Order: sequence, then C-alpha cells, then structure tokens
Amino acid sequence: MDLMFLTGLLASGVRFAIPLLFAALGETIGQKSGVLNVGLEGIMLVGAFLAVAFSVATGSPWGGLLAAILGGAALGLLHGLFAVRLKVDQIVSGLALILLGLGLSGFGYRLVFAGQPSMRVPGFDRLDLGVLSDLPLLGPLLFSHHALAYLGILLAVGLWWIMTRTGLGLTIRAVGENPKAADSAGIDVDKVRMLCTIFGGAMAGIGGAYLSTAQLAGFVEDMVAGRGFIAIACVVFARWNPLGVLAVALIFGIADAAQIRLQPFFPQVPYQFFVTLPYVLALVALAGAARSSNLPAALTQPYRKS
Amino acid sequence: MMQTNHAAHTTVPVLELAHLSKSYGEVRAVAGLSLSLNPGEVVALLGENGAGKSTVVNMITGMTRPNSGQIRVRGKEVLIASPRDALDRGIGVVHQHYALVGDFTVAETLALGRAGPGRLNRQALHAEVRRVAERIGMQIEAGALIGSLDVAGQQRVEILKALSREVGLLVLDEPTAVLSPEDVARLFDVVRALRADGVAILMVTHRLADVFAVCDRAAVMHSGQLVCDLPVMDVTSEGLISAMISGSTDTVQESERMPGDVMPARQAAPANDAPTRVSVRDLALRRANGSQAVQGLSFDIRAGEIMALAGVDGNGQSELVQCLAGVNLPDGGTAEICNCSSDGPWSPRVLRHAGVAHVPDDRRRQAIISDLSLGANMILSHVFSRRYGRAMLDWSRARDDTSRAIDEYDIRTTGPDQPIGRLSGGNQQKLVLARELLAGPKVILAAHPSRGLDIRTIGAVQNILRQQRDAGAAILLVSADLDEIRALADRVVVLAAGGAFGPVDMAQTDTAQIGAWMAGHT
Ligand SMILES: Nc1ncnc2c1ncn2[C@@H]1O[C@H](COP(=O)(O)OP(=O)(O)OP(=O)(O)O)[C@@H](O)[C@H]1O
Ligand SMILES: [Mg+2]
Repeated sequence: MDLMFLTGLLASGVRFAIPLLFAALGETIGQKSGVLNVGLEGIMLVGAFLAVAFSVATGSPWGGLLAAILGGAALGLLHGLFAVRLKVDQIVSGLALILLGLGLSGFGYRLVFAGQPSMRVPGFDRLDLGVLSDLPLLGPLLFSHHALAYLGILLAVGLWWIMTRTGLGLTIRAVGENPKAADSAGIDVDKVRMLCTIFGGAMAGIGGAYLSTAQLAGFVEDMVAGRGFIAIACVVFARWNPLGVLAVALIFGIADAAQIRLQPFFPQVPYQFFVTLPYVLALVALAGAARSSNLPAALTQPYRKS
Repeated sequence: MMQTNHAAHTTVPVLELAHLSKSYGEVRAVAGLSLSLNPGEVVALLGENGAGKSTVVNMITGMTRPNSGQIRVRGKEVLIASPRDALDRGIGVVHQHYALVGDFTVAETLALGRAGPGRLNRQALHAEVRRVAERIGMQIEAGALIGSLDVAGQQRVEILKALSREVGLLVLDEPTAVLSPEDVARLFDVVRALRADGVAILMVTHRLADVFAVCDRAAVMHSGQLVCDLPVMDVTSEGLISAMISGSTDTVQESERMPGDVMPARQAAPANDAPTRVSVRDLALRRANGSQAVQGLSFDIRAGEIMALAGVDGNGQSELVQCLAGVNLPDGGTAEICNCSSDGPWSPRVLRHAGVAHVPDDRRRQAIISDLSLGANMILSHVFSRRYGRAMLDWSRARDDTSRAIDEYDIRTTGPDQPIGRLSGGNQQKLVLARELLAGPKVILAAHPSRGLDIRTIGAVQNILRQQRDAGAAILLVSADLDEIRALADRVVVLAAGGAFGPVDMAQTDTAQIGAWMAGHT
C-alpha cells in the first residue's frame, strides 16, 4: 500500500468519523447524566432529512443544520419526557424513537420531494485553508475538511473540560452516579437529565445533518444504516470520556473507510463481509469494555424521590 | 457557616416537636410525640426496633410529612416539605445509608450543589474543606476519593457535607453502628466540638454506651410514644432498658428480662476432633474495583465453633463473606466448605446445598426484596433446597414458617403478607435471620447479624447463634462490635489495614488488643 492510499484512507476515515463523533459526544453527556438513548439512529435519520429539506428551502446548508439541531433537540425532549419525567423504561422509549425516526424521515422525504428525482442540495464545502490545504499528504489529511469536523474536535475537548473541571460537569456526573446524593445537595435531578437528553438529541441531529449535507449530498431512506448504534458503542468503548470518544470515533471511521477501499482488492470475497467489519469491531469493543467501572452507576435507572 | 450563637439564643429551642403523629395505614408509627432541643444540646433518641425513631427523623428532615402536630424551628412553626427544605432551615442529617458519589473527591462532594456551573477552583475548595474540618477537630484529606475511604471516613464526609451549610441541628441516625471503637471516640470528639459551637444534635442509637459517653439528654420511644425524656445524669442503663422494653421507667420485672441477659455458660469447648467445616488457605481477594482486599488469609472453623472476623467495614470482610457464600471466586488460594472446594464447582447454589446459610451485610441490596411480602422473602433462600416445592410453590408452608418466625423473633409486622420494605430496619433483619437459620445450617456466615437491632433482640440473636453453635454449626461472625465478639466468639481473626491478624483464641487475648488490631496497630 502506498502513501497516497494511506492518506486517502485516513482522510476519508476522518470524514466517516464526524457523524459518529457528534452523536457519540451527545450520548456521552446523556449517559453521564444517567439516561441511555438507544434511539440515536432515529434522531440521526430525522436530522439527515431535515438538513436536506431546509438546505434546499433556505438555500444554505447552515439553515439545514439549524433545522437538524432543532429537530434532534425536539426528539431528545420527547425521549426525556418519557424516560425522565414519566419514568418509562429507557430502552422502550429509545426503541420507539428509532421507529418514529424511520417513519418521520421516510414519510417527510416522500411528502417534500415527491416526484423530484434529482435536485441539487446545497451542501457544506470543504474549508479551503489556502497553502495549508495544498500541502502534500498533510493537506488532505488535516486541512481540507468541512467546518463541522473542526467544530466536532473542539467540542470533544470542550466537553472533556466541562465534565472534569467545572461545577456543571460535577452536577451531571453526580446525577448519573448517585441521583440521591445530587438530590440531597439541592440539585433537580430530572431537570439536569432532561437538559442532557435534549443536548444529546441535538448532537445526534448534527450527526445526521453531516451525513446528508457534507458526507453525501442528499437523503436516502435509512441512510444512517446503523451508525446510531455504532455511536453508542463508541461511548462505551471510550469509557464515557469525550476525548476517548474522539479517538474511538476516528478508529471506527477509519475502519469504515477501510472496508470500502479494500473491497475492490478482493473481488472474490463477497462485499457483505467488508460491510460487517465496523459492526464486528463494535461487538468486540463492547464485549471488552462493557464491564468498565466507569459505567455511570445510575444509568437507565429512573429517579424517584425516597 | 456554622452556628456560633452561644448564650444569646439558649432560651429559644432550635427545634420543637409538638404532638407529632404519623400513621402508615393501620400502623401508628409515631403517636403524639413532643420533644424539644436547645442549642448546644446532644439528645439521644432510643427505642426498640419499630418504636418509631426513623419515622421521627424522617419527619424532621423532610422525608415524610406528619399527619398531625407541629414542627417549630427557632420558635417559628414550619412545614418541612423536602430534605432540601430542611437544609435551608438549618437541619442537617447523616442517614444510616450514605448518599455519596464514589469517584468524587471529598472536596468535589462538598462543592456539589454549591459551586456555580463554571470552573472549579480546586485550591479554594480544598482550603474550605480543611477549614470546616479543622474547626471541629476532624481529620480528612480534601483530595481523597470517596470510594477509597472506609465507612468511618465516608461518615466524616457526610458530617462535613451537613456542616458546610449553616446548620443549627444535626441529626445522626445510628452513627456508631458501623464504627470501630477508635472511630467512635473520634466521632464523639466531633460531636463535642459541635456542641461547643452551639449546634444541637439528635442522635438515634441502640447503644447505651453512646448515651453515657456524649449525650446530655435521653429520650426513649416505645410504640410511637415518648415514654422518657430525662437528663442523662438522672438515668441508669436499667431504667433506659426498661423504658424501651416496657414503656415505663420502673424496675424491670424478672419475667420481662431480655433473653440475652443471662449468658448461658459455654456448653463445651469444641472437641479437638470436631470436623473442620470451613478451611481457608492463602486466600487472596479483590474488590469490585480491582484493588486487593485480602491477601494470604488462612484459618479453619470447626463444627461447634464461632470464629469472629473482626474489623471495620471495608477491610475485605464483605469480599470474604461473598467468596465463602459462593458469590465470588477467590483471586488466589483456596477455600473449602463442607467438602466443596473453590477449585471445583463453587456457587451459591452448590454451597447452599452443602448447608451454608448467609446473612449478608448489605441487607437492602443482598438480603431482601423490598416490594415482596415477608412470606416471599422467606422463600428466597430455600429455592434450591426445594423446601417449598419445585414448580408450584407451597405458599401455605411458607406462610406458616413466616408466622412462626414472626412469633419467635417478635417481628413487628401486620403479617406474612406485608411487603417487607414497610418494616423498620431492625425488623427486616430479624426476618433475614429467621430465614437463614430455618433449615439447621452446617455453616453460618453471619455478617453483622445484630447491626441495627435493639438490645433485647441482640440478646435473642446471640442466644440463637449459641444454640446453633451447640448444635454443631460452624459460624463465621463478621463484627466490628467488641462486646458482641467477646460474648460469642471462640477465636478471632482481625482484618485491618490490608492485613490479617490471628486467628487467636479469645482466651488468649482481650478486647483492648482486638481493638488495637482493628485500628491497624500491631
Ligand atoms: N413506609 C412505611 N410503610 C408502612 N409502615 C411503615 C413505613 N415506615 C415505617 N413503618 C412502620 O412504622 C413503625 C416504626 O418504624 P421506624 O422505622 O420508625 O422504627 P425504628 O424505631 O426506626 O426501628 P429500627 O430500630 O428497627 O430502625 C414500624 O412498625 C414500621 O413497620
Ligand atoms: Mg430505624
């Protein structure tokens, strides 16, 4: 394998990693507060659809992004209402979100774009950093991504700082580890969880928007294709550490890029074999990390006063 | 921060309870109780299991609301709606079960809910912890992780937590039950420092020694009523005991004496040829977090012998009991119980079959299911032995057994069908004991069997353990209570500071020595 192949692989690995990164960062915060959202898949689908619809409507990918954030936050709010306020089983509520997301995005797509076989979606352009982007090898690898990619990396660092160094992080961790302790310290457990869940939804919305307006240009039904679940695996594999999430999302992104790029080299192997690669990686990661002691102690447990 | 009003306010009680009542359905948990606490006063709240002490604490601290009566704080009538509300009114509480986050530091624990959302100033936080701790002569490391502290340390953090806000009344629920003698002394130093600072303290306890050591007044409850409220100078242990048991301070009638009063002489030392029932060789155990809990531990327990495992919680006792009960495998070395070896099949099922009974230390998490009835909880340990049938459960037999246990152990309940979570802590413990001893076990793993029990019941439980011993059971008694160890044990092993001392014969040592080992001194 030559150097060109390698940089190409890594650069597209980064691109594949970004949607995972956003969704997984949001999920990390949600889980840190004690709320598991298995419905990321559904939220990402809605985000992907809204981003396309509103990019077309407003003529700018940023308009689409905003719509995806709002839509994701709304679904996060819905999950919070059921799982946090009404104490419905978090898995059940999350599964409902997946189905809802599938239905909403598919239906919405047909409603809005019926009979418009090919339309131009105003997508995100890669950032042009002039000389830097033209550098051989390093240019494509580091300096030619979408603005969202750099935002995601900044977010990972920022969230890590918030979770470990600030009073806000302390509050979120307490709520996910021992809600009773948080409650007795005067913290409104359900409110913190609601806000974290809404944040998680908004982040998954961004992940979906990236898929449909930066990575690809357009919406296809079920285009998230399991990335919502991989994002959850990222959170566990990264042991609930936002910086870890950055690293793990990159690993998964590169694995995804590799499976696509390796396919032509082995025409005799059925392509489905390659497609399963990231999922196998996720399984292995989960089996290894599931018993981690970093698991928020009150994850999936609704909080009821005394 | 802390209240420092001495003379000025001494006439206004910090807290006044007037004709307070609380019923749970038919059960009158507290009936017309009146009590007041002045600044700088330490009041002991005593009473048998189910007398209503925790219910009083819950009403003061906003966990439950009274059905009738008034609560006045510094002369003003108030409604305490939540724990938060109580805190805002200057009422702090240290519950029996601490609410702490394991991977927080001490300083972070105190900052929770008080620091703003922004950057934490660790230096300022640490200084604050040191300042509050120093003020009451408490030793604590601000940067220590909660999970790495023993129970005494965690209790100190709970006290600091209460004191980091302006507190006029501190409620302590059975604070000494889990402490070593040395830590009890330290706790009392803190209590005295607080008293000097004008803080009123209400201390629920089952130990009369606590009353005479630090308390100014003793309030005794019996069946939800206050039957005695006297300065400690004017009471005797006998008077307190009789008030607890019979509700009057008159001398106890001979017929009402506690079963535990008369300590039957040791029937016979276990014969040297009595079979070894438990054998532990070079055992190493790890905690759930991976750290080393026990290393190189070896001892035997023969039939008809009680081996005490002394030490403060957190030194590997629970890991050892978990291992011997088959819940965990050893990390090194071997354990053998009644022909089962940890090198072979080793599980609770196998060991229960072999005749092992297990009274876990974490009652609420490992011993009972709160929502299920007493009868259903009775069945839990006897599923494998099929005492109550196979596929179809023999409920009438379970109910009979439960009813008998209720009589024998004097469990305060409405009957075998009541959910066990409704019982007072001590009464739950009695049912667990009854269940475990039901089938005549060969080996009894008893972790703090009398923790949270009143004096009378402790006597009864100790007698039962003696009977079981005389009937040939090998008993491992995990305890931090020197009186209990002295009363029951034939030999003792002490786990402390990551090491093990002993086993030694009780005849060849004394409680002072055991206490010193528990504190980690050699
Ligand atoms: N939530 C509840 N539902 C029903 N009954 C209850 C409830 N809480 C307490 N009780 C009953 O109220 C009575 C007093 O209980 P309480 O817990 O106050 O006793 P206690 O003095 O603290 O006893 P212990 O020493 O065993 O802790 C008991 O008969 C108990 O069964
Ligand atoms: Mg109680």
